[in-house]
Amino acid sequence: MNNQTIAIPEINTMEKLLARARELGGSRSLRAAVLMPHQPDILRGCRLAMDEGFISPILIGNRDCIDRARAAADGCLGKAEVVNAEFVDDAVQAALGMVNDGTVDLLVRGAAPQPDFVRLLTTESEGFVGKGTALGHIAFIKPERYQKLLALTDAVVHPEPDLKQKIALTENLVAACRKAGIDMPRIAVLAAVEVVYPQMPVTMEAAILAKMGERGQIKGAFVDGPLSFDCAIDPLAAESKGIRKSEVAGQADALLAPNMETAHGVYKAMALFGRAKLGGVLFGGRVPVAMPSTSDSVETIFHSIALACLLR
Amino acid sequence: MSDPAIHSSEQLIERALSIAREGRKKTVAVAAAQDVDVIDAVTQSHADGFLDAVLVGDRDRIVALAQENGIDIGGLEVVHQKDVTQAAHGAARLASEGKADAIMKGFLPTSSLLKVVLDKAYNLRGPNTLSHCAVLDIPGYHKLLNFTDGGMVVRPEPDQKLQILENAVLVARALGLSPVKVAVSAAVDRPADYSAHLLSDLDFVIPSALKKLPDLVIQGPLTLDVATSKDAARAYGVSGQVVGDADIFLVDSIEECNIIAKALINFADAVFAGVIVGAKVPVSLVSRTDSVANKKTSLAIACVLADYYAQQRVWG
Repeated sequence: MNNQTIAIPEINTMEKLLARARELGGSRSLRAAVLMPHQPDILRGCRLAMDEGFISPILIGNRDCIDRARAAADGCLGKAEVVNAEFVDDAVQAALGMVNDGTVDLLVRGAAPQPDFVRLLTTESEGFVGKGTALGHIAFIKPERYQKLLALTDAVVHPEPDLKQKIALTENLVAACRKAGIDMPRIAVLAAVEVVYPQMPVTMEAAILAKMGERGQIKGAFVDGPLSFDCAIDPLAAESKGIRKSEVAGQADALLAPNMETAHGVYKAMALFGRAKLGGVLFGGRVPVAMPSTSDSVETIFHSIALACLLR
Repeated sequence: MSDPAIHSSEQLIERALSIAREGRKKTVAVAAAQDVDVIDAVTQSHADGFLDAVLVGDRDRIVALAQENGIDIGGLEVVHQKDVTQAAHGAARLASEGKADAIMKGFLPTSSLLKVVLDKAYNLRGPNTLSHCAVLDIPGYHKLLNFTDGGMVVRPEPDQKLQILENAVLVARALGLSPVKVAVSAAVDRPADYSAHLLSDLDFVIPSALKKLPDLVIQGPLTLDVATSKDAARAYGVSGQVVGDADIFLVDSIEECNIIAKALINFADAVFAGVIVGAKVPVSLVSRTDSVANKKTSLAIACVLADYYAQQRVWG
């Protein structure tokens, strides 16, 4: 795999990505509303992001729970402002109010239950997600065994995206990759195989997306699919399957997964077993939302916050 | 006395070797063997001593490929059959007559081979649908994890999903696992909306599995991290016998299984043993991109499974 040359953008590690986020952010740290920081690790992750100059946090949640978490985290963020909110609905309301009046630049999910949190954010009346756009989860992953970063969508919001949603998610990937300094991202539309089978709808939608990319209907990216995971990231696998004339095969910068289970499984596989540096953000709303998963490490929580700053 | 449970790819090959040493060496019939990667995998496994093989296929091509690549096929039987479909029939016939214990795919499409294997004439059909098991040895996980089905059934109906699980449990039994711990996959542990497939998992697949399959623990919906990490489970507040200790990860679509397994193989150095289960003989397939270790482990699991079928008279 390493004998083959693949296109590697300048920003090809998590460290470089964080450096870019810092550079673009300038000297001012961004104001972040942290929703329900009831666990010590969320506070630790936020403090790390604060110490590194990324954010100044406002904590929204149950005051007692926050105090307990602070105590468990050695008084972490003891001076941060706290806005009391009993339930997830109240916390989201308060945070969206701050987004609307410009008090905060981004959100950080703490212990707010993921499905409820996503449902509240995507409720149409809240206006957090504009018409014609989609809120989707994007993870940036640097597996030890890959020479560059991989963006991955959507592990959180769309259980079974239809073609329309896949187009919007692909456009999100393009925009996010650009902010990450990858100007013409190579986007692989993943499937179980690398040929089109009528009995596998995923392969047909992938082929449509590839054609839309080829014709410039999706702009600013190379899009190809269907591609199996190995053909997306390993040039030898792509070659052995006879995939030629592809700007994407073997050297993907970004992956569109066919469904939420798949994206979530890949994210977790990399977090647990891929010796990967990673972080995740909800992208496509009025402001980015750092979206660490409940079992993520402090480092991953920190990466997620820094990524939210980058994608602003 | 039963053998100890198998928890790694090394133990899998070790078991295949000990089966051979105990005088039950398995024979693999290769359908359309004119494929250099297949010849390579079979000869290496034969040299290791855990299988015999009959290469059914184009003899001239097989000999030429072996010579070009410096592979010694001297110890293997070759049955000449130039036509690939006829070669598949030849391999199926060997299995049907009890002269081979497993079938391996060579230079023909998987679908062509399986059509022949399921031909009623050979009596190799089992009661269940065919499904693919990807048994992964993931560095950092303390046991083997069987991802299924990432190769055969695109979107299983509830009853197919139950059959896929039954097939996977056969493999788990062959590995000596007791109880067998099954995680039913999901993207969230406590979903806000119960999708149709999640409801059918909870209403049908899980209760039916518990009723039908003894010595089984099954839990779901579980995410991959909760299924494989007790720390993750603690963070989510999920408990149970399966969390952090799953043997089988039962998924909902071919894409989910295939993509996650390949992510682990490519980026987490997982060693992979793949086998098609559901027929009366295991069907093995390796691809050109598989490492030597993956190819050998795939053949080893086919041998171990075939031995389990024979010893336990699984098919009567």
